[in-house]
Amino acid sequence: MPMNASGVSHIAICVRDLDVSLKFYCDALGMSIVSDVIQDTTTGGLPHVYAHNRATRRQVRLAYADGAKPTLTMTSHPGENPDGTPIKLDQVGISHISFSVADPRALAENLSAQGVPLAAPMDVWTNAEGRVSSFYVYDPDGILVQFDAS
Amino acid sequence: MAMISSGVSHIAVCVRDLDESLKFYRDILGMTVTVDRVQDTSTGGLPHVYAHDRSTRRQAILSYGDGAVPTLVMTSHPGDDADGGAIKLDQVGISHISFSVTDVRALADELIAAGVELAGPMDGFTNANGEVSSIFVYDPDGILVQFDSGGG
Repeated sequence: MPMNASGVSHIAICVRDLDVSLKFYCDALGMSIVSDVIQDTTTGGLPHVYAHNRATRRQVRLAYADGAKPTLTMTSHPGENPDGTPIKLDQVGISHISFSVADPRALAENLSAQGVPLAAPMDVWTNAEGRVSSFYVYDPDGILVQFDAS
Repeated sequence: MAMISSGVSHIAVCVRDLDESLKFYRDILGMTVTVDRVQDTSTGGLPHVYAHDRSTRRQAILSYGDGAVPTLVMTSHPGDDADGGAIKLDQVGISHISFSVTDVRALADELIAAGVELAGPMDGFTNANGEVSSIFVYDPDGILVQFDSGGG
């Protein structure tokens, strides 16, 4: 049986304000915009996987390198009120994604200096040897984002 | 700007019953379980990113090949009641992940035969030329999972 899948193509994130999200994912995290389009959400499969009737959405695809997979596929619905609330790790759903980074401690200090809220103080992420192997921050919508040294 | 990250290492999914989820992700989707263990969730950073006090969790790590990233990191909390719930594409949060597959229509037929619930009727995912380039299904917790032929 096993299906012929080559891996994860994208991770889909719905946000309240894409411009604010891009400041975080592009300006602070250094991702690049692959595409930025307005799409009709009234036909095809999308209405079946939407909670509400939406006319259009803005979709921006982000990646760390040309052709890199998975992309982050971020959508917003300008002029409409999105519901939904980001979840924590013990709540059913997709709680977060994690990015591999070379030096989590340096990045945590850098992001913190830029005003990105850490999900807990630095000492929580620091082990007895003074190393930081993983930490979490909140994105502009309160979605957890992890960075790890894997 | 300097490249901050080499990419996405994992995607974290919390489920109600990991055995049920493994029937879907391992047995039907064909992923491989590389790690299956019980972890202490009462110390370190985890309590800060948990909604509730939990003493332990079961964690299974799945992938499509040795060393392939991102992995799916699936967790459950046996004996505890899990709250939360899957969201749709227009609700704030991480709504779904999508897997690249070579033949979406053939896969859809296979999944339906295996009892997996499509998120809409087949014709909703079929274009005017009769092609299926993307489908959505529900996993055992109602979390949307997409399959696409590479178009995104």
